Amino acid sequence: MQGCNKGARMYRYNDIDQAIVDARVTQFADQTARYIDGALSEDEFKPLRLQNGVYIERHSPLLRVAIPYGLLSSAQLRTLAKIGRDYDRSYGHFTTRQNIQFNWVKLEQVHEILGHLAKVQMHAIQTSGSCIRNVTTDHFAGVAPDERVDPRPLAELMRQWSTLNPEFAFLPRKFKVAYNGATEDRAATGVHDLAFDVFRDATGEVVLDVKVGGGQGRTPRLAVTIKRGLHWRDMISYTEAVLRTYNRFGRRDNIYKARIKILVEALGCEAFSKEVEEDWAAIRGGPATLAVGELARMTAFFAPVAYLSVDRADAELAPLRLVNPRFNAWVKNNVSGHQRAGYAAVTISLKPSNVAPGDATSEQMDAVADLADQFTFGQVRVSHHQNLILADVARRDLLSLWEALDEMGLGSANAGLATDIICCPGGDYCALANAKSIPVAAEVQARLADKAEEIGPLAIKMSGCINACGHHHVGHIGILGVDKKDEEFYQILIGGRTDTKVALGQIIGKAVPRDQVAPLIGGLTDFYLDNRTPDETFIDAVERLGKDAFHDAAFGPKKEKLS
Amino acid sequence: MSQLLKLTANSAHVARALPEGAFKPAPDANPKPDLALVNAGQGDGRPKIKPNVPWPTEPTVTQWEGGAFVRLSEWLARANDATLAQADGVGVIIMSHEDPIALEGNLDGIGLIAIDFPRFSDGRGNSLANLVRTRLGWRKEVRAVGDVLIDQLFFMGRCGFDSFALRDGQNVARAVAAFNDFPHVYQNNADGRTFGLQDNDSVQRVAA
Repeated sequence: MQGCNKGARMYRYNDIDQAIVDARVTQFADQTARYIDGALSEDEFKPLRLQNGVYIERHSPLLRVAIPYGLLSSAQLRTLAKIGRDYDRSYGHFTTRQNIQFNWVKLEQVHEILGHLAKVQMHAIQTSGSCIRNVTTDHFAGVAPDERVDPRPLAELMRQWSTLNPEFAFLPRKFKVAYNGATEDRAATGVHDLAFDVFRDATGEVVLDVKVGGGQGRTPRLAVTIKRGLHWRDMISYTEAVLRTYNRFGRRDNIYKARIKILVEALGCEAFSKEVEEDWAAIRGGPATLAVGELARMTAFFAPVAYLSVDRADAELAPLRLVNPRFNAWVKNNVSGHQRAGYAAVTISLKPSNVAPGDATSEQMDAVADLADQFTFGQVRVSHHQNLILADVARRDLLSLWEALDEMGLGSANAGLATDIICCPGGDYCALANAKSIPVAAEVQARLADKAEEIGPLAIKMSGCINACGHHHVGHIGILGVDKKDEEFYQILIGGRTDTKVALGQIIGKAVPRDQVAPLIGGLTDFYLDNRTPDETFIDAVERLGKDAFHDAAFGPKKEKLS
Repeated sequence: MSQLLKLTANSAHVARALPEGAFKPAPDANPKPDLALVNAGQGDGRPKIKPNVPWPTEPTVTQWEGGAFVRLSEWLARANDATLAQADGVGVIIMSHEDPIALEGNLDGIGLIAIDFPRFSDGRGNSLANLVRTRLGWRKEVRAVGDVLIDQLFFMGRCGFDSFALRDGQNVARAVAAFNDFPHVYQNNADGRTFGLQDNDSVQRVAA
């Protein structure tokens, strides 16, 4: 299978990359064997398996596989489908970090799975653990009409540098990096430990604004800008200074206070930035400086394909949309703009009803891989919304594509709507969850299904515990599972968003039992429908009418007002 | 009785046996895990979370083969070098929360700098070793002491450590081999090894 990504517009391993990933498979097989024979203790093995994406979940070990910045070739997707069939229960779960995880693996088989992954230039390195995690970016990178700079070449440089980085393999806590190169922030950079906004300066050079200290979890914080206009050649040395400052001074005495956001807040943005600058001054211009030709070399991997020129596609589509309302809704919600005339980026919703959000069967993965080959140059992306993207579809092919997707149960026309819920695995799988997530998301979906189209854009995000894997802090509506004396309760948040106007949501009302969640959210959306102005989205209405008004609509009037 | 490993430009080797006090003793033997139980998951993991992590205030080891270690603070507070003089130079030990840059201008008389790993998962030691090599320009021995385990050796070697007081009770042959776990690296580090991006820039790499 080597060379399977040849021709794909993505980074392709050279002999160095391949040798590193192959060596990791051998190393992990050895580590697992030493754990099984008792040479490594439970505590000694745990960080090693986590740094290879292996969790021990509630009912089984889980393997999380890295999908760097969410980009997959069709051959890679077929391998994931096969792993699902051979080592799991014929499905996989796409995560909010653009990765995939297999929920039912056996520990002693993980190294075999890693071997299969290595053959298609994939791995599970640093998908968990207190280290630099999988780098993420805009799922429309390279095709978005509002893009300034394609961030993927820089993300790949960061992926390489962060992979098996010896100095930063044991940080105080996990460390998540994101890139955005477009006007609209689709990468949720405001809630990352380290994030880069990529621009071109007046002379055309690629430069970055650097933000640190964002994150969700127990102490949600928005990232603050500590550097503007950093030249791309200094990206690695500056990051090294940020990481060294965090590695040395981040708190290690309490795991809940160990993320970089706590350090940035404790020192203050200016003092933190000063520490970084001092360290950077000593290494700036040194060997970590990226070579002059490096960005061009990396950018060539992601060069646009030979697009066809397609005329009058929309004129041809119009009558097809008129006679097929389901197709029409799909085009409206799941088809996004593209830099090239006649092309579109298509979102394949993994949020049909009665399926855990983000799950795809092996059969569906194979089918999507085939459709990617047929319609979009053999490439698939994973979005942090837990959907799949076909980024380069000729608009004249949209109907054929939708028909094929619909046949596989993948034709849901709900991208960006209330039923496109982001949801963590929750108490059904996760050993740390306070409450179940998947059935709650299903109840909310069912409640809103008939009105979702009328409601329009609405991001509902559900986490089963305070760790916030389901991003509840930044949902227009967030749902958080809490444990009250061994009973599952849920708190509702409102007003969060991840776009350029990033904001954290606020809790409204008391935590409620599960059966009240969907009716309450129905109350919030009904209030919106009754009070919105023409073309006003849900989140805009929250900002205009205030969170109190929504609280009162759902919970009844309260005395103390929210800010 | 544990062993001291040394790393030279070409390879790692067992340098010598270490005296008591120069290495961390082996913990109690591990029970072998029951794979069937592991594969059945851990159930509710929440009770196992212990958010508070206590840290020691004293280094894990007190000795090296040249005598007793001198704490960083003691060294900086010395009246004159003679009071702390040892035959092979003084062995200064730095704890992971301490600042090695304080040694700037205070390196004369030191024979060895040891960095303590109270826990193998304490990544601060690697940053400290890097600073000792790159900021202080220290060319003599930098030793990892304390909870020094096989699976961290490759990383430690890359960050500038060139000697390793293994925790007792480990497979020494496997430890020596660990320095070769990866044939290539992606970063410039204190070991000066040629790294992937540099390679890519100078040589036309073969696509896999």
